[in-house]
Amino acid sequence: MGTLEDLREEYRRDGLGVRLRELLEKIVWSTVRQYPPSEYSPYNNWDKAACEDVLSDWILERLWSRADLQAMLSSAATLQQLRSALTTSLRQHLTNKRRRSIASNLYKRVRAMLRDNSLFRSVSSPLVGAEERWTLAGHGSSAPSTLSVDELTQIACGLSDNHLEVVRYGPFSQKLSPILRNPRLRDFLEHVLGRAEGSVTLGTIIDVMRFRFSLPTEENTELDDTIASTKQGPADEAAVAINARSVVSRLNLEEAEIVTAYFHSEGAVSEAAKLCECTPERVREVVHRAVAMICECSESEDDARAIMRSVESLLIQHGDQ
Amino acid sequence: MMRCPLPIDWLEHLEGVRSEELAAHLLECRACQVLVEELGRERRPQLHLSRVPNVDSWPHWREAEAPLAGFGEIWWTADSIGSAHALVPRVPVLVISDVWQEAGRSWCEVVPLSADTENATSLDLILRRTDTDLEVPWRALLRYQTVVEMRELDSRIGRLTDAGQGVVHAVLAGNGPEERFGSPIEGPDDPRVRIPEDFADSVRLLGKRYARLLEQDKNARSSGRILSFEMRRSSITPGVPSRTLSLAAASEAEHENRPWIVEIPERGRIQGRLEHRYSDDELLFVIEDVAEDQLGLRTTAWIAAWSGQLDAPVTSQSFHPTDDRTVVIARDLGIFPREIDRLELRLYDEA
Repeated sequence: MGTLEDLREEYRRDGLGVRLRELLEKIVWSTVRQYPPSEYSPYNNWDKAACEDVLSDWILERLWSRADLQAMLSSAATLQQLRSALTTSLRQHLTNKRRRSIASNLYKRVRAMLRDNSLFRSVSSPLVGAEERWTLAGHGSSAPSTLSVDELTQIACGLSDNHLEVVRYGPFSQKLSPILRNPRLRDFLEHVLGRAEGSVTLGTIIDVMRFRFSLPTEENTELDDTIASTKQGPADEAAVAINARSVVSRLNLEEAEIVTAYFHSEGAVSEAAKLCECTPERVREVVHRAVAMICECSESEDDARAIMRSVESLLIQHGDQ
Repeated sequence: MMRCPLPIDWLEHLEGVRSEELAAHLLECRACQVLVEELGRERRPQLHLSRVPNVDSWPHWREAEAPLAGFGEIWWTADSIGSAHALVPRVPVLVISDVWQEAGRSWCEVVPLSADTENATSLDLILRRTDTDLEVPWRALLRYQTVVEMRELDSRIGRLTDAGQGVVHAVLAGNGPEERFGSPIEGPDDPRVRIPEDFADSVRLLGKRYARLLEQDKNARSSGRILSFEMRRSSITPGVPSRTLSLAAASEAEHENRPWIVEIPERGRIQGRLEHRYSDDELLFVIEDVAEDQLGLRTTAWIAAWSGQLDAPVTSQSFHPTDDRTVVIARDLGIFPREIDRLELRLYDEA
């Protein structure tokens, strides 16, 4: 693998050379095993093709485009620090990719709402996609708005998060949860289009939403809704076991002991704290993190319970349920 | 307790790079056992990359040595900062003040930068590609703004563009555009509350030297660091005092009517005003209101003041925001409230 200085020299000479590439391949192949493929893999598994996709995207989107590799090579004082920083970068990349699929879902809902709600009207051909222009049905003029994205974002900021009842992407958000529920999404679009002084393209509306709600950039590719899901049913034991193993493998030694104690004490936090000789706050914090990981890969409450039981089984009986 | 090894450590362990330390850890850590079982299911193939950026297109940042930093420059920190003897990862920081001399040493204020813009909070400023000459997006972690000694900075790698300077100046003046910040922190369980893992060790050490400088007269505590928070002038001017009070004030002190406010994430909020006491030529900060959040404000604080009349900022006596009401910022300098351009609260943080 070489020393840190070998890797720096290789980067200066070749960009992504043989040694760095092998290092990145190993980090991808090993780190993705901690994430449930049903949520994080484009192919619902972590085979060679899925790992190659992750590796390519990670390199292009972060290591090259954001100069992350240059930054980490310059920043690390030891080879182990570099390996740790690269692993963190990949973890952030995987998590952000998943967030983008959630944001993409919101964008689809914006388009559907504009098309289906009589409050809004299109003033251009529906075939132009992101360039399709929209205004309020009650507005006579269809001339394009001259306001910039920044100015429209200022208008969008006129409605507070509280007013819009914004549901942020958080640890307990259900998968694909809306960031704005439909009535508030309608209010939001009405507010922006009503003050835009003209018609606005769908692409601009999405840009405004991205800045207003700090959403990640929309992916260019969209899932085709007509393709049948390859996801197995929530009752499928194999899927539950895979998800549970991904949860346990992301805990560390201390966290695994605390969650085990929590199960042993049948959910009594203070009892678990005594067993682990730590504070109840620490038990709550760790259990919260574990539950968040379970929720993240659950389709339903029943599914979450099944994964929780499997996690318990892995930790206490040292086997899958 | 030993940290769990990285997944790549376990992969190499399985591929033949054996270590007694890892083997011992595996015996007691159920989480790592599960990961090793997963890794053992399939032999690692060679991965094929269909798209690899051209050799010449990889960024190469030039590291420039410079004696002093300046506002808007981006620097690497040194690999030995604070009081740490171990080498820590270098961190890119944005310099947001000019260098000043204090206790015979050179100091400046910095904000750590992270490439992970997606996890920006409402306390993080997002710098776009066009905001710096490095042409990458950054997230500036304003809540970790602190004071570092010049020798804790290693080399300069870039600087803000004119557009970027405009944004940062606006933010420092309390007028930053809302769309340049991330989404609010959801609560104590929001993982973004924590320092980003990749440079947590380094960020914790920044500001420790200045803490020791400020505490040197009082049996320095070694574990803390200094965090800095810009104070902004409220746009609301309270009612004009009655004629009687005005006359009394004129004989005693010069008032700056607009209050100064500082909000400290998770700790609370302080509001007060500047006054000048003629009899002793003292510039004072009079605390009018303190509101505490979950972490509270029971710690030591200082106020730093900048003025065009001074070569360097002046730092107040130490005070306790919850107990003290009057803070002497400067004495015998002939500085009046209207001549103060900027105030900053510096807080001792038991990191």
